[in-house]
Amino acid sequence: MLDESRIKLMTRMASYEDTEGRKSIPIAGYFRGDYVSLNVVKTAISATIAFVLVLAVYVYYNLENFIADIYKYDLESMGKRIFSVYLVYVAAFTVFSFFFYTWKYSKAKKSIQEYSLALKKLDSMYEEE
Amino acid sequence: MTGLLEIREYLKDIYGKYDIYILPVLKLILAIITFAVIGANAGYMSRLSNPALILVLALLCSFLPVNVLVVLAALYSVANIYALSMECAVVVAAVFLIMFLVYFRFAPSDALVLVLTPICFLMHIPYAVPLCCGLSGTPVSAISCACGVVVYYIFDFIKVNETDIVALDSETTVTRLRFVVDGLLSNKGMLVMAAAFAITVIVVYVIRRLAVDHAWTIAIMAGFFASMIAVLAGDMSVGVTVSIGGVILGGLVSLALAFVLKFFVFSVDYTRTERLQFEDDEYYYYVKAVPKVTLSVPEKTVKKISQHSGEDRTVRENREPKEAKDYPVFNQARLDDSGYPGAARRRQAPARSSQAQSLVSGQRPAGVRRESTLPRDRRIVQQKPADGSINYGRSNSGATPARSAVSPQGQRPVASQGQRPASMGQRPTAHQGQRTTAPQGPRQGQPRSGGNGINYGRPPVRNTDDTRVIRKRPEE
Repeated sequence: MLDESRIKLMTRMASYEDTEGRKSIPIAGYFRGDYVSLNVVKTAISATIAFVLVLAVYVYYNLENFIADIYKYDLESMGKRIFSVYLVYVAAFTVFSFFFYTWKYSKAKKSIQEYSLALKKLDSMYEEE
Repeated sequence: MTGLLEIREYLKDIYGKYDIYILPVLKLILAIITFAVIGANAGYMSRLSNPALILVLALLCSFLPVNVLVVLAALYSVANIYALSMECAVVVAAVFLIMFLVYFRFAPSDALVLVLTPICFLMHIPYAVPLCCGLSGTPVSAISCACGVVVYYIFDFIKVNETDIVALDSETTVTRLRFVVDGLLSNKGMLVMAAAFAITVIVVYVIRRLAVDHAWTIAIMAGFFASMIAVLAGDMSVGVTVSIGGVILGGLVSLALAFVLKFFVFSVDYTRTERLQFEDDEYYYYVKAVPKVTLSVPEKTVKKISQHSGEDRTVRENREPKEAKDYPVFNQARLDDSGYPGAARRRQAPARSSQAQSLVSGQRPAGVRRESTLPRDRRIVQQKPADGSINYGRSNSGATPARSAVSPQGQRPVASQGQRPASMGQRPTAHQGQRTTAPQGPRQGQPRSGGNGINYGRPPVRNTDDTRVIRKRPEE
């Protein structure tokens, strides 16, 4: 027999899966540590690529001066300076992304709590039958 | 105002029903506009300006996520600029990559602002972007707006200095790159506009979140004035020449667009505000409830006088009513000449078939063909049996003696003829004390799940498009 309350519940769940659940359900499928660390690593890689791009444009911008004065530069100290700037930049991004993805995971888990309750209720409806 | 509200509800209804078609069409239109604008302002490669290619790209964007449009627009513009100058293309590609890698990783939903901002600039309504972002987004959207400003000014710089860039072909690559990078970084108008957009977004967001009456209206006006002051003052301080009339006119049109967005998204009636206070075990609540302004779309009621036995038949919907024979029936019964599905079925149905069993259990019988297909919200509420009594069908009726309440002993009492269990409540019957459901015939006494096991269509969906044939009982 068609159970109206069950149909209503399933309709609401399907609607959630189609809208907010599209983002929240995949996120909630991870463990918190896995999700945050995966995204922090991805962010670090993206930040590294962006840093290399900016550095490349900057070096190319100053290429003439750089080539002309290359023997005057202390390449070791310049390399250390660039590397320390890179470390600070990536560290800042990593810390920011850690907090951002932790917050995103908590938000997804909270959103999926209601969905989980609805799943349990649906399960109990089937068991009652 | 009521007319506008009706139009809004009508549009919402249309969108709710046909969004699966409307969204791709809107994305197609936006994609065509985007690629056409890029082609018109930075179309340096004639092969890419082919309308067929633009149409193909737009069709692709219409069925893919919105961020694909942003990426394709970026690639399309870089490819066009490459035909002008490789160094320009490198700089533009680097700018896009840095934006995508550093910012739009965290806010991918804001990527569309990158496309909309240059389009609004070209339409001379740039301030609509920060106003609408402040109304619908978060303060982080300020960064998206700033990125959109940078994209617009890159294209504007390349367009304005096209001749100079071409003239630098004889120079070295480094010289050309320096020219482009210097032109971008030293563009103070771009910095002023980016700052003005960011300030506008933050001002609008902060004010509209306040718990005051007319917060959204105040936010829009405050955002408008903030953007005007920031742009005019900023441009004057850095020495950029700007048309004050153009800025104000563009701001006014953007203001109107923001009010249109507010009308569709946030329309409340402050005169009916309620302030509540209550407490639970943990908190004391001070609640301010502001009701939304809604208006139901009026239903058309068409009253038709049926030729059959003089009954009134009121069809409450805005579609043409179908013939009774078009209603779906699950047990292959044919309709009699009267147009009612019940009588012929009662003549023809077997005593207890597998079909009847499956119908009783609620499952669709295997191999049963429908007479016809109709929308799911159609349902016969009432069938007319051959003996002239009224059967109220399945769900809404109580006239099903087999569905009686369980007695305190736990056994289902057998309902006698004409009696209805008290638990079913008082329902109107055509003939009091007379049997109203079980007709004479082979189905007598069989357990039912609905009026004579007929018409197991899905329950009607209660919306404005609901179609139900409601038949009045004949006068006793």
